[in-house]
Amino acid sequence: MGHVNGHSLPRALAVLVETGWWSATNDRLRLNVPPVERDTRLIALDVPGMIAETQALMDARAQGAGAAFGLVADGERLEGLLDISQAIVIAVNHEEQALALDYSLDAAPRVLATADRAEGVRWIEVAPRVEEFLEAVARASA
Amino acid sequence: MWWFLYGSAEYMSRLRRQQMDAVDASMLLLHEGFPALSQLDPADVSGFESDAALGEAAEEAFGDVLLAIDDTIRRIHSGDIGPFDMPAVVASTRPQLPPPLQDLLDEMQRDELAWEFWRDTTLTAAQIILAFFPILGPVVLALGVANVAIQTEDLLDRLTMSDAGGGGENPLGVDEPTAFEQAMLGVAAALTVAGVGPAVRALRGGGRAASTLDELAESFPDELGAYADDVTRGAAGTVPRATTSATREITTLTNVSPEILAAEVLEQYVTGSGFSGAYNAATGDWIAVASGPATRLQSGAPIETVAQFGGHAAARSALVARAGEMLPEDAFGFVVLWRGEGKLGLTWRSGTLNSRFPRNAVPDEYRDRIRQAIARETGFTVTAE
Repeated sequence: MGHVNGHSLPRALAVLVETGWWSATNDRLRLNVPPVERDTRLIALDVPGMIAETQALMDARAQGAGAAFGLVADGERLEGLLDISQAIVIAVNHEEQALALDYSLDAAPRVLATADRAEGVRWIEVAPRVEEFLEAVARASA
Repeated sequence: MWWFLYGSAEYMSRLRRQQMDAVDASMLLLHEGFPALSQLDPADVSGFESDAALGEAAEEAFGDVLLAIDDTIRRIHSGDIGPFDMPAVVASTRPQLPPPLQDLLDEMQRDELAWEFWRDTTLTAAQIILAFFPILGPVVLALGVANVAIQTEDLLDRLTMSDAGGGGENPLGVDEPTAFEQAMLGVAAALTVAGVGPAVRALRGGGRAASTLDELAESFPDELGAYADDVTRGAAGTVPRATTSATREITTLTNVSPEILAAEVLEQYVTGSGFSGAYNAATGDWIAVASGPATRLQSGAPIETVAQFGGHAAARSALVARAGEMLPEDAFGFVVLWRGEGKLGLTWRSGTLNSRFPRNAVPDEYRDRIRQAIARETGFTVTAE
């Protein structure tokens, strides 16, 4: 429990997943994250969902769709692209937009969100730490 | 003289046998210490330009052995290979157990062998008996394919485990399947294929056959139900399982040989449930598959969905499986959202299928075509969101 893609979920998020606050069925959760120009709402994933969606992105990159989703892997570091081997997808919508934890810079991950740019999908930092991000979501959902 | 010649020949023959035995024993020791060498034929080690080239070949062979070991470990951990498939493991474990547990282990091993015997026998018998009733074609197909699938999996497991042994006596106590066993499986598969033509046509033709298989899947034990599910899915050209653990089929909305009426299905879903869609602009064909964890039945019963990332790729694959190849420039991704009370909403982004367009969105000029195609097929009020 709490391990995805070789990384531990931050304790704050793990607790919120465990209590059902961070879940697809919590209608009070408001995941309004500015870079995501969404038409459908972002859905908070439980641990099996995080595993499935993270794996889906790894598969997409392996099958040649890395550029479409702004992905790199295996330690490659490029501004605006996500190293999926160092990440966990934590929320996603039907339009293939997402929030992810990025462990490539630090064991305490930052939170990134997809943004549609002219050059394709880019991953933008929305919070330097998960705790700050969750605090902002909690305020918006109150 | 004759006696001397006979004695001499006998002596030379015995000496030769001893030499061969010594070489065999040495090779066994060598393979035990260096399993990679067992992957190399004599022809493999001759004709190399240099020692470095030979070293590379040996390294590659060693990699093959490691891969086979990795694959075996993964399949043991995932439960794909059960402990009773490895006689040497059972034999080495037994003496370490207290006597009552040894008896229990023996009993479990007998039960496992009995289960495998009756499983194979029952499936084969049912396949033969039901073959006399043409109307039950899909059932025969399911049983036949399930039977071949189970035998194939057992055989592949044994191949994997015997490969991982690296030559010599297999440490797991598993022998490689004989050529006879492989040939017999081929015959079983060929007989099944010969009998499935009418059944596949029945499946492609409509929902009656598909629902027959659905019922069949439900009536089977879990393991067989999963196989029957696979048969249903494969024959009907739908998408593979993805995210959830249940063994149900993924709900698929489409205008290409639909098996279910959208109106009958969507009413059972909670409002807001979503389906990742793909549209072929050249033919007007479309398909949408249930996606994501928020797509749920009102009853709370578990269902299968595809991942949301890659959901459009799954939809595209499903459409190609049903309607044939589709050019990349004809493929458009969209999302169908169930809004309740006979209403559907459509959104237009897809990272997978629309990345050639600004904001990954379907261009305006194609949206109404998609909207009308879905409205026509479902009978629902469809609006762009």
